[in-house]
Parts: sequence; C-alpha cells; structure tokens
Amino acid sequence: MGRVKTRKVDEFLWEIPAEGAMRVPGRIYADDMSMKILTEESGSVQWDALMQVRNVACLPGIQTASLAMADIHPGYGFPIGGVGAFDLEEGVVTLAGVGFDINCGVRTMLIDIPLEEIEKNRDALADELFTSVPAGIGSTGSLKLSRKDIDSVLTEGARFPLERGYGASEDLEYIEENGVVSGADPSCVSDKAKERQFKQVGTLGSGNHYLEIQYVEEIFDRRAAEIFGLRDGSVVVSIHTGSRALGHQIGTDYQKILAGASRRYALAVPEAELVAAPIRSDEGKRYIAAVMAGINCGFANRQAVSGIVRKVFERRFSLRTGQIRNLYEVGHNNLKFETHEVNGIKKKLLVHRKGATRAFAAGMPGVPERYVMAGNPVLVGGTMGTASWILVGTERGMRETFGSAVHGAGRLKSRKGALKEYRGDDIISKLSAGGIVLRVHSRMGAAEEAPGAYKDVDRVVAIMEGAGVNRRVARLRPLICIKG
Amino acid sequence: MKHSQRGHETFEHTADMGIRGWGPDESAAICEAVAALFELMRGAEMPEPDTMLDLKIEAESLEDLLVELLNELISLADLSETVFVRIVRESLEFDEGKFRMKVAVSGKTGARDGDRPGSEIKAAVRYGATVSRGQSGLWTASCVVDV
Repeated sequence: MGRVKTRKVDEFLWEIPAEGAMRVPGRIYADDMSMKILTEESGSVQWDALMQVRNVACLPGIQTASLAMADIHPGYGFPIGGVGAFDLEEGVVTLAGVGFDINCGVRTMLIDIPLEEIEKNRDALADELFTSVPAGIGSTGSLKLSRKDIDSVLTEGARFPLERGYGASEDLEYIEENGVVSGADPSCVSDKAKERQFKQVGTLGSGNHYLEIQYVEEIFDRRAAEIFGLRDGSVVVSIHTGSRALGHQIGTDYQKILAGASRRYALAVPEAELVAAPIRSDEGKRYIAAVMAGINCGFANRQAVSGIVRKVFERRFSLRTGQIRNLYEVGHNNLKFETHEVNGIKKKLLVHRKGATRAFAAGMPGVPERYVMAGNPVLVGGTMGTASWILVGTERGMRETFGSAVHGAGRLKSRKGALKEYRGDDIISKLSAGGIVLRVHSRMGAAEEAPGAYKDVDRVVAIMEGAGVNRRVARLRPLICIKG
Repeated sequence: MKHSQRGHETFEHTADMGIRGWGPDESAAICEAVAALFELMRGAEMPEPDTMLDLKIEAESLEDLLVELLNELISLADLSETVFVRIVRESLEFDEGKFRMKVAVSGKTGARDGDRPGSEIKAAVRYGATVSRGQSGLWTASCVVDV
C-alpha cells in the first residue's frame, strides 16, 4: 500500500486529491499495471515518484495540477516525466524541475537514402559514426572554444556551430525555438561551468545519450506522417544529448544558491531539498537566465553533433545537403515561458518539463509552418533494442498537460539492478542477433542501458494516446546504435 | 550495509545511482562516500597516481559538506582531466558554525578519454543526502549522484 492516496479518474488517468499543503491535485497518466508498480514503490522505497508528484503540488504558484506523464519514475524532488506550470507573480522556479542535464533532448533527421543501402553498409557506417562522433567520458569535441566563444554559444545557441560549418541553414527552422532562446545571460553562469564546456561542444556524452540510425517501421497517423515527410521504411538519424558539463555545473552552482533562497524567502516547500526561488526574486531571475544559457548550449551541442553526422552521410553515400533534412529537435529538461489557459483565462506561465517533451498541437504558435496542421513532432527515445516513437500533441493535451508528452520509455530497473542482471557483451550479441549494431565506449554503460531496464515504450505511448493527450504517428526501429 | 568498521558501497536509485560510505567518525564516512564516487567514475581501473590535488570545503551542515565536496571533485576531474584514485589525507573541524574539511586526493592526469570504463557523473544531489550516526556508533554518509 502506498503512502500517497490516489483515485482512478479513468482508464489512463489517476489523481492525487488536493489535500493538506497541496495547492492543486496531482495527475498521473498511467494504466492499472504501471499504477500498481508506482504504488508498490511508494510503500517500499525512499525514492517515491508519487510522493514527488504530491510534493510538487505544494509549491507556491503552481497552476491546475502537478502532472506526471506515463514514463514517470523517481527523480530528486521532482519526478522524471513531471510537468509543473507556475504563475509568474506568485510562483517559484525549482532546480529539481529542470535537473542537471539542461535541455537534454532529441534531434531527428530524415536521410533520403534507401533502407537497403544502410543495411548493406551497416557495420562500416557504425564504425565510421563511432569514430567520428566524440562520445564517452571526458571526450573532446572538434569545435575548440575560447572564453569569448563560450559566451557566444550561450546566447546564439544552434547558430554558433552552424556559422562554423556544422549543419545546414534550414536546420534552424525545425528546432524548437529555432535553436535559440532569449533571456540567456552568460554573466549568470560561473566561469567554472564555462571552462568545463570548452572542449565539450559537439560531444554525445555517456549514460542514456545515444546516436541511432533508425527506420520507420510502422505508421499510425498517415496524415501527420505525410506532413512530416515520413514514409514506411524512411531512414532517420536520432541524436540524444544535452548541454553537457555546462548544464551539470549550472545545476551544481544553483543547488546552493536556491537552497539559500528557499530559506531566505521562507518558501512553504514540502521538503527542504526541493529547492526553489520566487520567479520574481533576484535568485530566481539569475537561475532562469542561467538555464536559458544552458538551453542554448544544448541547442549548440546537438547542432554540432548533427553537423558531424551529416558529413559522415554526405561522404559515405555521396549525398547532397538537401538529402538530409532536419525533421525536428526538441528538449525534455527545460524551463519555458509559455501562454496557456488556466480556468478559462489565458496567462503566461513558467513551465517546467523534467523528462517531458513539449507537444504543441496543430495550429499552435511556435509550431513550424510546415507542420502547423499536425503540431510539433514529439521525439520519444525508447531503448536500443526495441523502438523509438514520433508522436504529436492534441488539443486535449494543450488543455490538460500544458501541451506536454512523454520523453522516453522511463526506467524500470535501477542502474545497479541492471548491472546485476545484464552483461555488456551479452547485450551487444543479443542486439546483433536481432539486426541491431551496437557500438559502445563502455560495456558497463551498455549493461546499464539494457532494453530490459526500461518500461515497454509501446505501452507508455499507448497510455498517452489512450488518455487523448498525445497521438502516435510513427514507430521507429533501431538499426545502428552508438552509445557513450 | 556491510558490518566492517569502515567501507563504502553503491545503492539503488531508479534513474541514477546512490553512494554510501561508513566509518568510525563523520570524516571517515564522508571519505568513504568519496571512495565510492571515485570507483563509479573510474570503473574497474586502478591507475597509478601521478598527481596530488588539495581541496578545502566549508558548509553549514555535514550534508552540505558531503554534497559540495563530491561536486567539487566531479568538476575538478573534468577541469584537470584527472582520474581520481583515493583520498590520501583529510581533516575535518567545526568552528564558528561551519564545518571545514581539507582533503588531498591522488589521481592520474591525462587518463580521461572517450574509451574509459566507468560512469560520467553529472552531479551529486542534495536531495536525500544524509550524514548521521547509527545505533552501532558508526557514521554513515550517503547521497544520490546523477548519472
């Protein structure tokens, strides 16, 4: 029996009723099976995702509900898969709602090449990508930066590497916010954070970050797929990475600053560790300006990595620039100022998405013109052995989730648990038998990221579709996976 | 937790990794937690150290001290491109409302490249960090690190 009281609203939605210090209810997109797991965890482990949904509902200025997408699992303070939107006058900004991997996200590019060509060249292409894209611990990017350059990265985002030959100018149109957010202030980012990033722009990283060559295995929404330019068997490249060490250090630096702010402003936060600052406070403004800089760094990093990948494909398959098109790029650890309807009134809010993806429906501002009849593509990373997904948001999703979606499968087993159960070499062999080439910098990392350590991504996206807040467009099957 | 007087281990956290150290006093427990961090960062390797780095950390609570020390070491590993091996010297004092800790760590420089074993640690998390004395009299220091 869990510590948090829940009630079933319908087949795919559960609620934590607003009681005690809660300012709004908690709402969790889940089916009976995933709710059973969450409830059992809630009664037995220190890290309790349902309690985290409840605690976020207690934060000052939170609007409508503390939300959890179907890939919910425990974070630190704020659940992964969590969404919280805050009033700009009374609300707070909380570090746990962004995390240490600021603007971690996914870019997917369409490659105009027959699937058979990839299959014929699978091993050689995997080797070339593995040696071309810097990944793994302490890896160094090819884009060497000075102190002045790093400030430009923080304000220019994806434009910085683009202007240095990484990618095509059309890429920007198909990046969330066109690859750069306003409000970034490099002076709010420590020298240490900048210094750590000098060599890391254009690196994939490690952990759950990856580069995958995938193909469209099945289309579920033909109209949206056509708008996105996806056909059965289309080849795509997906890149999952974020703002690297700069984002990590911003989180570390502001962990202390926001802890002080929580005490100074005597915030009624349910746990001292759910550190926060009023959005209008000096500390809050500085943290937001630093996060915006981190978001731009994430955009720059994915642009640089995708530029390297583009060159590999152009060289190996003699492709022209136009034969590689950026489908979309969207982050899932972010803060965004967005306008949403609350109790029938449109208002500007600060939306936290921690392991959740922006899913603006058809016709919404911010959706690229080409996609306006479908909504922005939602890029959901699954596992290296199963599938990834492309979804879209719905009007109901705009009303219920501030236009949000899942970001991945969501972990089922801990990293330590996965290491006990799986061996890196076995994972590589099993994937190979299934036609998936895996290249890893760390065999331990391969075991930690074993497909069995994650929830069933097909089920996760089906829950969101069942709830009417996201819609499935296409299922992507991996062919090649490069891990840090 | 094992029943030796001093040691360290990792513990489960769904998305990330927990580290725990224990020892006869606060300082030993914190240093053992650092040893757990170093093991995560370097994997099974134990390189021969060729450098020594000194750090001073101060904080108002032992929990803050633990998290700040771990985060300082994570940053320093990146900046100095060093794989840390062990703490070779430590001292902890409490004065004027603050805990002050000095440590000297040994490591191998130039050993960080993309093909190393181990985990890339993003940060140590303040959420849920504890430094406390148990019924057995042993001190324990634990927290979660974001992987």
